[in-house]
Order: sequence, then C-alpha cells, then structure tokens
Amino acid sequence: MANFIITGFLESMKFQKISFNSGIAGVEIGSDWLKIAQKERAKNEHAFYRVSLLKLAQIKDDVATAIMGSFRLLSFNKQHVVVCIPRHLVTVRMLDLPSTNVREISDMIDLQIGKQTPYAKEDIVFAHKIVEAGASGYTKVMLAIVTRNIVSERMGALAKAGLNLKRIAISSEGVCNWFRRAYLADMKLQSSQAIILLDVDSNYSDFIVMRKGKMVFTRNILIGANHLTQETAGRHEKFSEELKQSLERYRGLEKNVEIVKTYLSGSGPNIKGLDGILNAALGICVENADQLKNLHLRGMEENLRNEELKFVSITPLLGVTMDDGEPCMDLTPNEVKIQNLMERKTKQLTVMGILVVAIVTVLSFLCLTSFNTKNAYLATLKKKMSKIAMQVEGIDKMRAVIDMVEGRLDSRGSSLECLSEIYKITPKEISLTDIDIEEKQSVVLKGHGFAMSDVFKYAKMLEDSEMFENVKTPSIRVKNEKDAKYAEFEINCAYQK
Amino acid sequence: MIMGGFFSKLSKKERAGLMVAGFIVMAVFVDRLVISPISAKLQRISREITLSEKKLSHDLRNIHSKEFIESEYKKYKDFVKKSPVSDEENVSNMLAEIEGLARTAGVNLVDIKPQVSKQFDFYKEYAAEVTIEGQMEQIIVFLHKLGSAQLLRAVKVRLGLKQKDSSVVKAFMLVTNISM
Repeated sequence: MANFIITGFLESMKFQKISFNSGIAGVEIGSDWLKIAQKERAKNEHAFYRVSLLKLAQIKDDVATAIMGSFRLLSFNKQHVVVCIPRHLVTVRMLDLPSTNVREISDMIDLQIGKQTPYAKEDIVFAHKIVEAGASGYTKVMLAIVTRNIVSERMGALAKAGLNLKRIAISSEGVCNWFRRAYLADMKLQSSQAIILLDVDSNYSDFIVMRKGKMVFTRNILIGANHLTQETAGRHEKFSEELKQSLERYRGLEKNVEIVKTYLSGSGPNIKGLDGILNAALGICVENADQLKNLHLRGMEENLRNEELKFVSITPLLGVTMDDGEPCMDLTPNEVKIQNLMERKTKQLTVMGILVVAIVTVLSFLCLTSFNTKNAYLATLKKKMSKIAMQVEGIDKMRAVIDMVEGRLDSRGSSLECLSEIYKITPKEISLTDIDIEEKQSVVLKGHGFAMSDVFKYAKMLEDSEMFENVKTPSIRVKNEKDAKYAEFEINCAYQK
Repeated sequence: MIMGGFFSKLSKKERAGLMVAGFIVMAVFVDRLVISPISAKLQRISREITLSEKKLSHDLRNIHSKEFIESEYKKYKDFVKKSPVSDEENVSNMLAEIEGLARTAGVNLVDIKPQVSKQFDFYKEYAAEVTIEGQMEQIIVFLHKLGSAQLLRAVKVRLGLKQKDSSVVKAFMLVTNISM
C-alpha cells in the first residue's frame, strides 16, 4: 500500500531523470515516412545528429510502438520532444493587419480565424508570428492553421510512446532554421533582397522565400521526389508551373523585392536535372544545398546516400532540433499548453515546498547541534568547577580575610591622615570651627576667613589636593561682629577615589 | 476562489504592497515564534558559558597561588582568631580598650555608647559612639593610638570647639572593631 502511494506520488511529480542527454528530439510523422532526429552536443562547429528514418508502410505495429522502439534504440531524449508537422498538412495565410500592437493583432486573428478556414474554430489549432511591422501602421502576419485531428493523432502517438511533448512546430520553420545555420550565415543580403528555398521531400515540396533572415512566404507544392523521379509525361512542366505560380503569389505580396538566388534543398539535389528545370522556370540562378553540410549523422551518413533514403528530406527535423533557432510558431493546443503550465507550476511549487522543508530541517538540525554542544560544554565547565569548589572556597575565605585585615590596618584615607592633610593645606587666613569626616567618603569643613576671596582660594587649594575632589561651597556669607568683618563658610568635599 | 476574485480586483501596485505586507507579517511571526526564543536561549547559554569560564579561570588562578595566599594568611591569623567569648564580652572589651586609650592620651571621655553589632559574611562588626573633650593635640594622640590598636578604627569623626573662644575641642567619633 505504502509502496503504491510513494510510486503514485513520484509519478505525479514527473521528476525528470538525471541525464546528460539534454538535446531536443524531433519527430515527424509524414504521409509515408516516420522521421526522428536529435542533435548531440557539438564540441566544434560540426554538429552530430542521430537520425532514424522508417517507412510507414513497413511498420508492422502502430506508430507509437515504432517511435518507442526508435527512441530506445538510438537513446533519444524522451523529456524534450518537438513534433514537426509537414508543411502540406498545414494551411498558411499571409495577412496584413491594421495594427502594430501585439495584443491587438492576437485579438484580430482570434476574430478572423473563422473566415480563414472552412473548419469550425473548435476543430482547428492555429498559431501566428509577426513577419514584419510596416511603417504605415500595418503588420505582416503569418498565420498557420492545422486541423485538430492531425495534432491529436501525433500527440496521442507521443503520449502512448511515453514521450514528453515540448511543442508542435511546422516543417517550413525547421527548414529555415537549418538553412540559416548552414548557408545564410555566410551570405550578405540587403533588406530588399530575398532568396528562394525549395525543399523537396518524398511526396511534397516547400516553396519558401527568406528575407532579412526570416521566412516571409511559404507555399506547399504537392509534388515531391517520388513524383519527380517517376517517368511520367509532363511532370516537370507541372512542377515548373507550380513554381511559377508560387513566385507570382509571393511577388503579389512583396513587390519591390529582388530575388537573388534559389537554393534547392532536401532531396532536391539528388534528383537529376531538377536545378536546370528550376532555372528555366524561375529564371533565377539555382544552387544545390547539401542537407548534411557541417553536420554528421551517427552511423546514418552512408545510408542517407542510399537509393531509397536519398529522396527523403531531413532538413525540417534538423532545424527544429536546433536550440538556437528563431522563435517558432507553436501549434500545441491551448488546453494542453495550460495543462503543461499547471503541471510545471505544481512541480515548481512542490520542489519549492520540499526545498523549504529541507532548509528548515537543516537549520533546526544546526540549531539543535549548536544547542547540545553548548549545553555539553557548560556541563563540563560546571563539573570542573564543582570538583575544585571546596578547595576554592577555603582560598577565597583566606583571601577575603587578608583583604579585610589589610584594609583596616591601612592608614591611607583614615581620619587621622585626613586631618593631617587639612592641617597642611589650611592657611593662616582661615579658621576652622567644625570638621566632620566620614572616612573614605566625605568631609565637611565649617569656619571663617578674613575675606570671601580667602575662602575661594582655600576651596581651590582643597581641590588641588591629592586627597580631595569635587569641592563645593554651599554657603558663604559676610558677617559683621564687634566692628570686625569676616566671611563665614561651609565647604563640602569628597575623598578622591 | 473568493481570495482569487479579491486579488484580481487589485491593481499591480496594490498586489505588490499586499504581498510585501504579507511577507513582513510572516517574517515578524517567524521571528517572534521561532527565531527570537531560540536565539534568546542560545544567548543565555553563551552568557552562562562566558561567566563560568571566567569563574573557573579565577578559581584555577587562586589554586595556583594557594601557597602564597596561605603564607599571607598566616601573618594576619592572630588578628582574626575566633573569639571564644560572647558578644557582650566583646563589646565590653572594646569599650574598656577605648577607655584605656583615652586615659593614656589625656582626653576627657565624656560619653561612650555601644551600638548594635552587625554580622557580615564571616565576621562581626562592633561599633561604639564616643564623645571626648580635650586639646587638639590630645585628640590627635587619641586618634593615633586608636589607629595603632588592633583592628580599631574611627570611621566617623566630628570636631568642634566646646565653647566659643575656647581652645577645648569636643570630638564625636564612631569607632568600630571586628571579630570572627
């Protein structure tokens, strides 16, 4: 029972396993291929990837089991998984919205979404990103829409395989991320110049326009390597037509942009003569882009050059697993995002609670230890004191007797010494009538002098004496008696300490 | 739920203020209920340790100088011999001694009043109020003899002329003596 409770608690906590495998794994479930990739830690500019490519037709069990098998086989990170949705399953709209405020744009999209797709709002998942904020107060926005069942299928497969979903991305953004890292870093383009990136996969192609390092346009062409390699009449013409249409659509959106080059990526460079067809169709210089540039696949590099695998594009997966790419659109449904957020918050709160309890426990332990140590030390001191108490008591008594007797025999500060000092100080102008001595405390002198100045001088002399201090004259008055005039006084002073 | 509604109605500044106030109240509670009592107890033990250490070091110093103290004590032993006689006898002995000293000094012993004895730690103090008359020189001689006598001491002295234009001095004294 207890074991069940603990296990349940740990499961609910969903603590991440301590692992050095910190990369992001990308999963793409396409129409004919299941692709999985993960970037390893790069020690230099060459990145290492682990890639698994499985043809869906050859999977005997369900997709989740196949995914689980691949993750186990190639030790992919189960904690951070990004699902990549192929471009041909996503509807992308380019919108010009009359605001530059991010919140307002979100609200406008929320209102407009129903008009952009024939599906009901509840049946779709959408995300957007700002492409460019115009000076005229308009903002170019790229809106991506995907039907909920496509997302749910993939999330279900991942959940069944026991993987932790991080986000859901679009393949086009993955392609852009990969191209930015592999080629765009070395290029110097002006803001009015753009490049076309044509990523050819097995059964579709993605026509992407990039400007200022960002994806500004994307169009899906439902002709892929499978069609282009078949000996079907008119296949190339149809493809050229689609390319021309895509270019025209883009030019309709951005008029004053010069397209300087076209890059053919994915499986495109492996299709013979495709660069020539592109060149003829678009009239722009075409260059083949190697999808394995600056990167190595662990044990797969040769396989990818094989006849069957060379017509599969892995650039979207390479891009989505890069951790330093542009912020991407996330097609994760809102309810899942909220659930994830709540789980994260709960986990953080639980961890914080445990930390607080741990800190309090450690502090209590430290306090107790300190308390016990001090008490033990005090007990030791008291024990030592009690051992010598009898001996010390006798010595203390002897010392007290010595001090007392010495004090009584000591003539310093005695009444006699005080009188001797008064006799020495008193001048002939002063006559004393009363002397009151309280040994080692105070002296009161009463008498009279010839004049008041004599009394003050006398007080000063007493103050200068080493025996007295704090000399005060509380009363002094002049008296006339028998034709004689004299000053009667009273002086108080204290013994010097 | 009610708290959530209450919070959502507050502005950002009000929420921050409320949180700071809450934090301060919590800190005060923790301080009063936990930190202060523990710290007070630890401080009390530390104080006790400091005092005990001082006392122990003083005791050890005394033990180390035991021989010297004993030799000093031997010198004064005779002064503080335990008196085998009663209080009354001690007082009458002291009065007799004062009377004898007055006689030898040549002063006129006008009055002598024994006071109530006081018990201290390990000794008893006897006192007597003494009134004498005489020339100043004789009174000084009496005081000198008093100081030379065993453990007798004039702790209060009041001197004044007996009569105006007279050379006779009247002295009032409080004389004390001790006995173990």
